[in-house]
Amino acid sequence: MSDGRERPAGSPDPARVVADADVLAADLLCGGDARDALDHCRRHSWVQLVASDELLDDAGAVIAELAEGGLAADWRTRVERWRVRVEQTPGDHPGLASAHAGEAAHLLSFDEGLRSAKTGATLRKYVDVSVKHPRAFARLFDPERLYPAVADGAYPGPDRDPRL
Amino acid sequence: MDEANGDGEAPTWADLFSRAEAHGIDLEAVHGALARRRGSADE
Repeated sequence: MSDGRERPAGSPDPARVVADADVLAADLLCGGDARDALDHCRRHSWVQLVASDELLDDAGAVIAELAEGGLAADWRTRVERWRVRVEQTPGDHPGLASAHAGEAAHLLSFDEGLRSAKTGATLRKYVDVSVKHPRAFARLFDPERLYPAVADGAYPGPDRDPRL
Repeated sequence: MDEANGDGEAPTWADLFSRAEAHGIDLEAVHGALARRRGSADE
């Protein structure tokens, strides 16, 4: 887990997830694949959502533009208490920079450009992250299989209410 | 890390999702807004 299990040097943490700004905003505003994916993270305290301030700024701006500022502010309050905050280099892509800084194994994005094989090959020179469509993450995430890699003992099941 | 559960200060996800649903926003609108946001940041 991000709080103890040793990983090979340079390898990403399989229990750390970055959701790009489109996924964060869609989780709140649209539901669907984005919410299905992030519900996995909300249900398990040992799965950590990693995000820089810049990443939350982008998602918050989308929410404020499409909905209203009050909802964006309340979302920010809630997500601030959930995320693991990382620092990023100004000007870098917030999703990729968060994954790099947080050593996250997964970056969830709707951006086809980020998920392309060509981009993936280029990215791996700089950051060891798997860019996934939220639908794929929601379908493939297997907490029972992942748990032994991040903590001791058998998978105890979900330990949080994803709607609290 | 997650201090919101049960502390009574942060809104719940259930509350946020309920409020957001009233706006009827689709994924295409999210993509457009983010493209504008990041496009303007690049300028």
